[in-house]
Amino acid sequence: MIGNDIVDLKKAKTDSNIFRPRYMEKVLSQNEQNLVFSSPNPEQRFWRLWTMKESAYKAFQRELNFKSIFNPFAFYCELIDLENGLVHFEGNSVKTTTFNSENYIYSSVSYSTFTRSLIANSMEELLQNLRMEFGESSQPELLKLKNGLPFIKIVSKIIPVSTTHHGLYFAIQF
Amino acid sequence: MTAEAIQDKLKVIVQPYVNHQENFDNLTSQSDFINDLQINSANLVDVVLDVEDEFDIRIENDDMEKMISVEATVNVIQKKLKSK
Repeated sequence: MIGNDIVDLKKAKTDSNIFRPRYMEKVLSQNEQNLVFSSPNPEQRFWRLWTMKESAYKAFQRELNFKSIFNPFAFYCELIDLENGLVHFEGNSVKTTTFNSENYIYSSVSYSTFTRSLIANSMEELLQNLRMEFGESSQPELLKLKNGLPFIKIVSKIIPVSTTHHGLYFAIQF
Repeated sequence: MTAEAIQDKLKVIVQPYVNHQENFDNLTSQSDFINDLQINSANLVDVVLDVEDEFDIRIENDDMEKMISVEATVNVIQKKLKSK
């Protein structure tokens, strides 16, 4: 399973006021809200939970083929340590890994140890990184196939990927 | 309130969160918030909260999950206004 999500913390600060009344209640369970407010950095903790939910949503949507919904509550987060967590959805759960930098927060579903993530500052740079990964002649091409799900075409192979972009950051998981 | 009147108010609400001006200018009941208007998902929460404030209603999760297009959102608002 693949699914990822990145949040540019600087952009998030200008785009969304997560401390606006009722904002968190719309997104987080009471337990999750406690995780946010007991953290020394509530903002980062909020975006960690958010990116965990988003990446699990993408993974389950691909797996179970459901149409788009907006229900952050259906995805319930548990934190294991600073990086690892679990997201539960309708009786299923997936493990997630979160990378926390000063400028962004990146979560991805870590269902299998064989998936890789690349993070870059532009789409061109991301494609360049893919060329380095798969060889200069691989000519990676990003495609959107049925239900708008992303894939990359590498030479003649088509590989499912998850992509995310926010502010200055672009990431791909495959 | 008619669906048209609700849609007009909704158009004003979503405007600050839109990232695709052309699709916003040509907004129809079929417009999708994420794919067409490119509203980022964190701002979908703001749309829901702004709708609650503007129409003085409260939207629960099972209604919120449908609010990904103009038409679905207008339907949720209309239903809530009727039960007020």
